[in-house]
Amino acid sequence: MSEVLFSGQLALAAFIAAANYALIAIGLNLVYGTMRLLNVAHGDIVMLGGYGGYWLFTLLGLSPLLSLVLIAGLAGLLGIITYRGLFRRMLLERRPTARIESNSLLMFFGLSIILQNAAALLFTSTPRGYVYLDRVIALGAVSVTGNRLAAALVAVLIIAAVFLFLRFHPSGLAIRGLIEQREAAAIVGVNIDKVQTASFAVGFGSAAVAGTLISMSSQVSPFMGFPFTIAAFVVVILGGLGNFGGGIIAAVVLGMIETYGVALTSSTWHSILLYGVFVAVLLFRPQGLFGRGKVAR
Amino acid sequence: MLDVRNISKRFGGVLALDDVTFSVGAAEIVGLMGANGAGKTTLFAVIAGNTRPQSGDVVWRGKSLLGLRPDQIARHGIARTFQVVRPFLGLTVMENASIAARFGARALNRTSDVNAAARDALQAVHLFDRAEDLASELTLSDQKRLEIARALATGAVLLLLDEVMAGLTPTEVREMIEIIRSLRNDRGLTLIVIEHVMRALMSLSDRIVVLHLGRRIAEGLPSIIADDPQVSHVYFGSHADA
Amino acid sequence: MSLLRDLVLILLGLAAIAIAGFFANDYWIGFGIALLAAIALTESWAILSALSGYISLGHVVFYGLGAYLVVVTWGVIWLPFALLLAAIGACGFAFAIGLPVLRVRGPYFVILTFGVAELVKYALIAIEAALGHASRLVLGAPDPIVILYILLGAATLATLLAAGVRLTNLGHGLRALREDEEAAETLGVPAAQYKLAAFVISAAIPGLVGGAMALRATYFEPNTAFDPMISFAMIAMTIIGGSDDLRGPVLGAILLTGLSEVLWDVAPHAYMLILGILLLVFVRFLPEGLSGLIRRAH
Repeated sequence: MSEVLFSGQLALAAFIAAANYALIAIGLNLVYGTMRLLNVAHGDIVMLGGYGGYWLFTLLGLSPLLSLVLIAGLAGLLGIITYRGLFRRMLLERRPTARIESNSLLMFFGLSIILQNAAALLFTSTPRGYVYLDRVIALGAVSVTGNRLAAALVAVLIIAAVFLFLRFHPSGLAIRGLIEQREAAAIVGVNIDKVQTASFAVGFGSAAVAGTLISMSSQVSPFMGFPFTIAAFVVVILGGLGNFGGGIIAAVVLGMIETYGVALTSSTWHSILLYGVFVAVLLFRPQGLFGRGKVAR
Repeated sequence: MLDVRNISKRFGGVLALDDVTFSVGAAEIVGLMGANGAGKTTLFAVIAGNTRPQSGDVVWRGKSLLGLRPDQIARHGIARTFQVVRPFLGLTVMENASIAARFGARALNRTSDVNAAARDALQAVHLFDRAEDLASELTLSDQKRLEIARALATGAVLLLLDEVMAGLTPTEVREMIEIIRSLRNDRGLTLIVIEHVMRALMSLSDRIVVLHLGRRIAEGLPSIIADDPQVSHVYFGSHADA
Repeated sequence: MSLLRDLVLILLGLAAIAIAGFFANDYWIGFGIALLAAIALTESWAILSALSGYISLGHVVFYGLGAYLVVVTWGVIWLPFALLLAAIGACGFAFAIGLPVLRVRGPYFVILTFGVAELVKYALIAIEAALGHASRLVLGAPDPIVILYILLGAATLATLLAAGVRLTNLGHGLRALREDEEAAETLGVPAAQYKLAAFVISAAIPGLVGGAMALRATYFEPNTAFDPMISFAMIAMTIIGGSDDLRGPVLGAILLTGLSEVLWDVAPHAYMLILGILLLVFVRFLPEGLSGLIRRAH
């Protein structure tokens, strides 16, 4: 058992999983933090990004590491359209209430069903995969395929970029302002509509990029999104809604639970673990591990 | 009837109520006064069971209310209004009052009884002519009256009125004073009234309790309170003319 | 009043189906089964989610538990008792988890119920695996016509329950809770008690329906019995049909079962796609549903 726990191989796998989850969670955290909306279609944006990576590679031979730029842009556009078409009027008209939040969730759920089944109609349900950077790289005692390593590294880069943006760029500060204190942000001159638009754009964009990175090493299928949505929710709620630093730590925790958990048990138990943590967090610790006052009430 | 004993309530780092004690007798109108943040609404929340104090007790007709849920306290005959009105926007005025009649201290079951109680409460605040309108269609002033009507419809004998005159025109204030006065004079109800509109508070109250930063700093007849230097210091600063 | 009118209309419609059942061929029996199951499920779901505003995205958990209980006791106990057990078992589970689960509000309740349903599903898969089953077969299951009448009973019960709740203090209290829970509680509505009651009542018939449908399918497999799409269909039908009154869920059930009949065999994904679009459009732009639109047109 101790060989398992201290295995560098598993540690690397946990790191890769954590980077993946952290990237996926950032978009969800943005949309939640700024607008208190739970985007249950988030995992399906990941799915779309995955298909984008697959098709651009298969049809045009474009490396996913390059195509992710285009995919991020397209997904961002989809985010803006979604915001403008469905949520903007609703959010700007009244103060967010539990009812509006529940209705928004149902709308995202409808969106999720639409995306999943549109993908199934367009691409069929057959899982798709391609081969890219699959040469195994040896790093000392551990080995990893190039695509997984690249995915993790790119994820880390993007996460770092988002962090720096939130920390130092005026728009990033505006976003954080809106997350912390919605009313005060408006008074101070933050353009709420613009910030919300940006949150949707970056939220969708980052999710799609995560999907593209995933597509390098895993097959994509129309219904692959749900587990990513749940995982993203676990990360976001554990880390504290709107708390990006907490999200990173929660992603690491989830990555570790998953990797070591699956290694020690079987894969049905993987799902039990995932949903068990999900339910437990919502029931017992809705304010997350770091209890900073933003509660999932 | 009501004994507030040494109530202390803390929210995180803020001590909202600090060892507050006072009593209210039957059919009294007690005014509760204090600057914003003095703890007045928190006190109502404690009495009505919306929040639990760290220490102290609330005794109602000899029985402790500590630890009871808001709905249980309502059935004991205490009803409060909210400072920021919370009408059931999707329901009509009549339905708003009917809910209170069904579930409050009277706990009525028969529809005819419920309707009668609701109508009576709405008439007391002059709102019965709008019975079929949706609560969302009312003006703010009418929504404040609806708050009172709901509290009344529960059959409560103690009403906690939280700034029901805020934002009203002078005419509306006069009307409201009459309504509140008749609640005690005609129905024998007991009232604790939070108000910032000074003349209303002074003219309505038998007695006034003054809170400042969570502590009770004065209590007495309106005329006494009006002249109390500590009170005017708190309200107007040290440069006030008495 | 409109509630009683709706009730009478629905019961008449169910009576008509009861009579038609004697003359129907296999195809129409199949359609009837799907329609009655949908009506039973949506009216039950609405007791909790429409009245109280606590939208359950995991209601399939009661359906699946009912299915499991019936399949596991098949041949061991008399079918009516098994169906009763399914309903009671579902209620029992609702009662067991109700208090903590209902303390979670708004959208978190929605995803929590989804998580609970998935958790139970995977737990059952693990339990069944430990018992040596990947799925279970039902040998000698009743004829579809019997299933039809069972579901007729379920739909009738669900409608009566839905009407009954609305007529009593429970229904009024839930509506107030939905508008503003804290204000309602302050006026004397026993929030936790009423939410739990609605939760438990809304679980009963779905448990029964799950049991009946398992017999119809003649097998039990956790992924099918706990399929999240069943929860989704319940929500979509009720919201599209209109959740504010008694007839809305029935309207939604009729429309979408009909649509499913046309599309499901040919293009199941197209059906789901349309369902998703309709849900989105109705939640955002037509929250009062078809029933509300009809009401407005008069």
